[in-house]
This record gives sequence, structure tokens and C-alpha cells, in this order.
Amino acid sequence: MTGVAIIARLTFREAARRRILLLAVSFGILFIGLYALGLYLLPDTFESILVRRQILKIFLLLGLYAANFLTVAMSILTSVDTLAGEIRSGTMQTLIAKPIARWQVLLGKWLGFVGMLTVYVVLMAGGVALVMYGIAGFWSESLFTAMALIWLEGILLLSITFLGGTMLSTLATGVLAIGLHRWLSSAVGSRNSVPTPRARPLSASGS
Amino acid sequence: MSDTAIETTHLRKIFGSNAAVEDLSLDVYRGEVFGFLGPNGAGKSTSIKMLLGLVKPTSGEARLLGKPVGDVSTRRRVGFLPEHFRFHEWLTGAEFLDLHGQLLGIEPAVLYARRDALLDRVGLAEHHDKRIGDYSKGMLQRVGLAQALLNEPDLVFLDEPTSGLDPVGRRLVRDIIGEQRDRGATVFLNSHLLGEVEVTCDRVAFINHGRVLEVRELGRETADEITVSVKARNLNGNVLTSLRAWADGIRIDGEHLTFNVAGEDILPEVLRHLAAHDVDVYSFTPKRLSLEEQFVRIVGTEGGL
Repeated sequence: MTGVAIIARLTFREAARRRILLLAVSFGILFIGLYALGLYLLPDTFESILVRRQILKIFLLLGLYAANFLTVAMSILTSVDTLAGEIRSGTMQTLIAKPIARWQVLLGKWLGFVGMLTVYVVLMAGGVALVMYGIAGFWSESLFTAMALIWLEGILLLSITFLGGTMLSTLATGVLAIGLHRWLSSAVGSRNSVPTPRARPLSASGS
Repeated sequence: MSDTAIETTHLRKIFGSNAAVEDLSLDVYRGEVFGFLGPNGAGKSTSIKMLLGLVKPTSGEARLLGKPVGDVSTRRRVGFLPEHFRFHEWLTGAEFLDLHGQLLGIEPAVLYARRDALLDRVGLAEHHDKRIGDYSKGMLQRVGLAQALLNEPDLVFLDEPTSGLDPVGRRLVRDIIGEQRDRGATVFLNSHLLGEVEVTCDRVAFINHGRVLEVRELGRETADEITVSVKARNLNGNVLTSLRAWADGIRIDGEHLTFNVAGEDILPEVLRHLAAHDVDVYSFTPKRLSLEEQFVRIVGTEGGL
């Protein structure tokens, strides 16, 4: 087994033991349960098939939004301490003194977290999609794209905490990752959001 | 194959505006147990980190086992026990050693046999499936030591290996260091316990402010290193004056005479001299300067903080 694989395996096992992950999984299960209940209780008396489709789409988006939020929180919180913490505690010293290059340690750790992230995204977004399909019989062809995007977002955040962790303290890394995420999502969000009524020339002329 | 295990020339490390290691030039020969002594803040830990490639030197050169420091494949032949040894607490002692053995590239069959033998040697055979997080400080130190020896290294760095150990544990470390030397390995020992260093090391370097102040071979005394205490009667002024030919630091307090001589070979002569002058000698006790006394003399008492 090469150095990268050994470290990746160790990191995956380590990440799987974190309380934060347990918390994220518990919240995830709780959310999917509530989501299923809500969807189940939703009265299926829509005026047309098109309206039904629209409503279910919004409902699916809501579910994916929650899955996304949990994934983001989990990605940052589980990985934020892995480098800075191990450098500070000295755990890293024993590792780095082994015949393994630093990039192998970093890549291995990163892959370990990516593995955990993948499992989490599949469980969460997959859970939401399954609930939607099972209860309402609704399936969106963009689901895989959505899952891939959530996954990429998690990977981006992981990479940022890794970048921060090599140079900064745990706290500073956390601030960096969360701050960047807030900034990026508001920047992307405002570009993609539906124009507000104020910006609409029609409503402006109508007043 | 070069006969030096460690070679450094003008090694220097600056953190910000602060020189942690000023100018370290040192040779450690293969097969010796080398002590690295100095007050706190003398730059010992930074020096070790540079030698292991954990910290990049600002300038200067260092070679381990003939290869430039930082060479990844050389680390296969090097062992290291860090000062404050910590590791993933959820691993058991055996899992921890397996992991490090894999990182060292040891064949599984060899690794498992060695791991069991080492756990046994450091007295942890019964605790091999206990989590490291539940280990006491002494047990942690022992498993860390086992980790450092897993690859049967040609060169092993032990940074304060006896910290957290009781007298039995300290003796174990001393025995293991002896076994490593017998195996032909070089041991680089950083310890505050000068008594330990004195019985285990072949040579020691005294370090302060990141410089080598002096390197000494232990068990071989240099000038004025033997202090002799004599209990005698009939000591007269003449004897004392003529004693100055061999000794200095002569002090007399009633029947007790103490003085320093340059080496063991002088002792019989001194004794003959005393007898020839009809001095009645009741006891004659030469004492080597302890390492602690040498340390204080070389490094000074200002100490580290």
C-alpha cells in the first residue's frame, strides 16, 4: 500500500469517528424523516399537473438545500482541525519523519475526507431524492447534477480548510472557510436569484 | 559508506528575527551513542527537527547517513521518538505500530513479528489491544519508543525518551539504548537527565544559543577533571607547596585535603609524594567530575528559561 492510501484510510477511519460527523448524520436522518413526513402529509389535490410539478420541484429544492447546508457544515467542521490540530499536538511529527513526502500526507488526508464527504452527500441528497420518488413519485433529471454540485462545494471547502490548516490555526482556518463560503454563496446567489420586483421595469411603470 | 551518521556544517535556523540555532557544526559517528546537552532554549529541539527534515534550515548543510537531510528514502533507516509523543488516540497500541510499519514499507509478515516482539520488549505485551488514548504517560512513551525502533533503524533520535517514565521505565530505556548500540545503530539522545546520559553515552556535545560549546568523550577525563579528597594527618606546609607541581585548587580543612589533578596517571605519584613526606594517609578518594558539574562549568549557570 502506498503512503497516500495508508494516510487516506487512516483519515477516513478517523473522520468516521468524529462526534461532529455523528451529529451531522443524526441531523441528516432527523431531517430526512421530517421531510418524508411533511411530504406525506402534503395534500395531493393540485389544480393541474403543472402546478403539482412546480410545487414538488420547490419541495425537492428545499430538501436539497438542507442537504447542502448540512454537507457544508460537516465538511468544514470535521476537517478544520485535521492539519492545524495535528501540527500543534505533535502527531504530525511522527508522521512526517516517516519515509513519506509531505504532499503524500496532504493528498492522503484530503482523499480520506473526500471519501467521507462522498458517502455523506450520497446519503443526504440520495435520501431526499428517494423520499421524493417514493412518496410523490416525482423525479428530476437534474438530480445528479445537483448532487455533483453539492459534492463539489464540499470538496472546495475541504480544500480551503486544508490550505488554511497548513499555515493558520484551527480557529483562523474555520473563519476563513466559513467567511469564504458566505461570501461566495451570496455572490453566486445574487447573480442567480430571480430579479426582485423593484428591478422589474413593468412593475416600476405600473406604480 | 561514510563513517559519520550525522554531519552538520554551519546549520542555522531563524524564526522571524530570532535565531533558534545560530551555527551548529557537529559530527556524530556511526555506532556511537551521542548525547545532545544544553539548557532549555539552547536550540536542541530545533536542531533535531532540522536533522529530521521537519524544519527547513535557514542556511547551512546537514547530512544523515551520507545523504542530504530531507531525503525521503533515508528516513526508512531512521527512527524518531519526539519529545511530546502524541498520536491518534483511538488506535490500539498494535494498530498504531502496524500503521507506522506500513508507512516504513515493512513487509507484513516481518512487521507483525517485530511489532509483537517490540511490544513485549517495552513491556506492553498485555496492552497491545488497548487504545492509545487510555495509555498512561509512561505507556505512551513506551509505545513511542517501540515505534522508533520498528524499522531496526541505523540511526535513531530519542528526544527526552525517559520523560514520564518511572525508574524501572528509565532503566528499560537505558537497556534498549545499549541493545541498539550493540546492534551497530547510532543513537542520538537528547535528555535533561544528565545521570542517564552519563551512563549511556559515548560522547556528548554541550550546546547553548544554538552553538556547540564543546564535544567530550565520556569516561575520558581532561585537565583538572579529577578531584581528590584525602583524609590525612601530619600535613605540613612543605608538602602542600610541593603538591602544586601536580595539582591545583588545593584546599585544606583540618585533616581533610582536596585538590584537582589533570588525570589518573598522576595519582600514584601524588600518593608516593605524600608518603615520602611522612604524611599519614587514612583515605584517598579520586572522584571524576560528574557530567552535571561539567555541564555547569561549560554551559554556565545562567541556565535556560
